[in-house]
Amino acid sequence: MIPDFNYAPFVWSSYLIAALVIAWQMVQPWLKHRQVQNELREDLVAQQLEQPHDPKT
Amino acid sequence: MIWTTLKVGFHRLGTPQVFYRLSTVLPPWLWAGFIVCAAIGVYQALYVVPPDYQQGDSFRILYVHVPAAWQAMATYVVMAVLAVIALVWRIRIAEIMAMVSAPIGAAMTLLCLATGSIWGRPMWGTWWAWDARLTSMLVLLFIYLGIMALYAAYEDHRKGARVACLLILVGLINIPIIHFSVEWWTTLHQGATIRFFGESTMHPSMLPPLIWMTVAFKFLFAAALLGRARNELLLQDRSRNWVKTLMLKAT
Repeated sequence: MIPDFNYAPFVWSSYLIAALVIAWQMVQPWLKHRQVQNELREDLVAQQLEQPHDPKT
Repeated sequence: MIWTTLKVGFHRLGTPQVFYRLSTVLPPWLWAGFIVCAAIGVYQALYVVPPDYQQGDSFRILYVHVPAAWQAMATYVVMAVLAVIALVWRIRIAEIMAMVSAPIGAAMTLLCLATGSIWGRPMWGTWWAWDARLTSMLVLLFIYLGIMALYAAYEDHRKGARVACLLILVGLINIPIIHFSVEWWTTLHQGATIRFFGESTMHPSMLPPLIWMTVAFKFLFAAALLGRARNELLLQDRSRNWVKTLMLKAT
């Protein structure tokens, strides 16, 4: 099924590099979004803990 | 009436909440478009198109090399348009999009240079030549890296973006140099084989995978751009109420 091209190592290595670059473009925003969301949630929790506690509530 | 609707739509797009929603909804569809086009393109490039009579199978590299090169240049043009909008109208979303375009453009340029180098080894007998097209493409990579470094160097994101936008406009001069380098100088790199105005010298049977891959790279750029812009917007607006509300809803 996998074609045995002449110059095969050159062809396959090009497609492999392309796959890696594209995969990074796909995964990076998703990973970064998770990281940013976690960071912001932690900030929010820290801010809520810092707020003075009202005994009536 | 249409003009007013467009104007209102454009300004609404500039509001962080609307842009955030758009950049959350659109990327999965754009990635789906990319996967479909790339799957058809790669299948045709590797299984359908016959080998070239001179280059043999090595010419199949061009199906990733050429779309990457076109996308590297197209990204720069998009970035320059966004930089003008950011500098003239001070629209923050345009600033953010211009800044997050740079790493995508750098990745496309790097891919173009790497695959070109791999193709050059069996065809030219060398991995690299200081040829006008190759050198101007390398300069494009350095410009992208320079824009990223300049933006990152400023603590004030908006100030950094404005300075980087000026660098983008200065660097725009390199795009026609890349395009016409094969005509202005005697180069090892071949001249243009695909012409939008005039006859292409590429055989029509070899064209379909190139078109599919080119469209796939457009989807890739749009999806990656929106994904990155969404993250940058969240980071910049971290102390604003709309982000806090969003985070509270998500928890």
